[in-house]
Amino acid sequence: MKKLGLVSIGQATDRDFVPIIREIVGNDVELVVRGALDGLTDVQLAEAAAGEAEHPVVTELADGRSVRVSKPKLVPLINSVLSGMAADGVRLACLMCTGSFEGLEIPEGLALLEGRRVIDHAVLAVCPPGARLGVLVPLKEQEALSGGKYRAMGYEVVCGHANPYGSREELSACAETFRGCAAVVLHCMGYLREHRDIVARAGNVPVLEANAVMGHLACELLF
Amino acid sequence: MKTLGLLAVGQSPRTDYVPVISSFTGPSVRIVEKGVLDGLDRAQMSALAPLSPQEHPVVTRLADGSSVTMSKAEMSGIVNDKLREFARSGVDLAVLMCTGDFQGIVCPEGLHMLYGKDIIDGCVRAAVPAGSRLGVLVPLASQEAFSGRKFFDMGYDAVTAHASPYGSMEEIEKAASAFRGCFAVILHCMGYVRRHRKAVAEISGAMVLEANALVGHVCSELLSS
Repeated sequence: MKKLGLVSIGQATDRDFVPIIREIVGNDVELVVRGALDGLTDVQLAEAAAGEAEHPVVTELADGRSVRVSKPKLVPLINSVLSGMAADGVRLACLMCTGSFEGLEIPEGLALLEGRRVIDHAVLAVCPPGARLGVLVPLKEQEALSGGKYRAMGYEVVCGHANPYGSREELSACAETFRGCAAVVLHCMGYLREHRDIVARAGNVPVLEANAVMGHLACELLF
Repeated sequence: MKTLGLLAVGQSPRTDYVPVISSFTGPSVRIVEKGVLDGLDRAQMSALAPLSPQEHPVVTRLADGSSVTMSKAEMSGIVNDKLREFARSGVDLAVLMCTGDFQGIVCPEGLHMLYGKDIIDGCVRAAVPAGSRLGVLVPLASQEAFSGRKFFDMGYDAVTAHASPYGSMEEIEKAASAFRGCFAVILHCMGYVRRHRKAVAEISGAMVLEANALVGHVCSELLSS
């Protein structure tokens, strides 16, 4: 059976994006799900937290708690998951985060779909530069960096924030701001089908859900 | 039920790639096909053939399964006519089913339209890190230089080979041997289907991106909400 590695930047669970990827890739693929924060104690988790001045990564622990992690501190933890996967015979893995990471070490024989590269080019695939693009991020302080990235790619950007681990009311209110956009990108792997449907209906707009896009590309490469 | 309009650069129905796309979009999406060359006879088609050997041509399929080589520039007016027909009939999403770049296309007001070229280029960049060795399979020898240069300019170590999807599997197998050692191979024409892909993957050992399947994945995602 073919294997697909799913590397979360939180702790591995069988919830969240895993059922969505499973539905897309089908039952003939073994999903190897691991998290960069797997097995860390509360003390170690506190050490990995983002500082005040940092652009944080928002992720979820196995017990459902949402945490804000420092990217540079995540990189060696991700690298260790990747080398473990390669050692276990995984040849294709998805890094399930839309953020960019400096210093990733991809082991020989492993192809890595990086969430950031996949989602940015999926946006380019379905929405021509110059169009109005909605960008949904979990936190207000992420709007400037993520919005700026798509502005630099040539889009007229409308940003909104609503934590995927927060309330639906918050999301519905935010989705209204995307009316009139050519497309909306859900710029965090924590957004699921239910979030996608709320944004698509409230904004009446095509929506790219990052984790599903990863699933589609991985599915095609594994065929 | 949502409607997906597929505009072939040849003639509809495309019994080759439509089953691949509908396998992704499923029973909740109705596929409506049009072809740029629908209803044209051989004489009318030869008026749309490339005018010079310098032009980058497009190879496409007719309803009877045979193939023709056409000029994209000569076809763009008909492409625009067909897109307006899709806009009038109210499809939810339309796709220009060609991996090549058409100049002079005007997307009608209110039509949500995707270019096959943008989908394929975006998916290649998404899946394949810049700097990797990328195999590029095209139908004609005369397309190799242009397509190889295009992916080279996108930052890849591009290796090209040619074999028409409307020709024999032996030609495909022969071409695929050029791709051994590649990180991935893009089948750079909508006419390549699952059997071509399987042969290229087995012979080259590389991951393979099949253009029409990528269109199927993207459309299924956009039409599933």
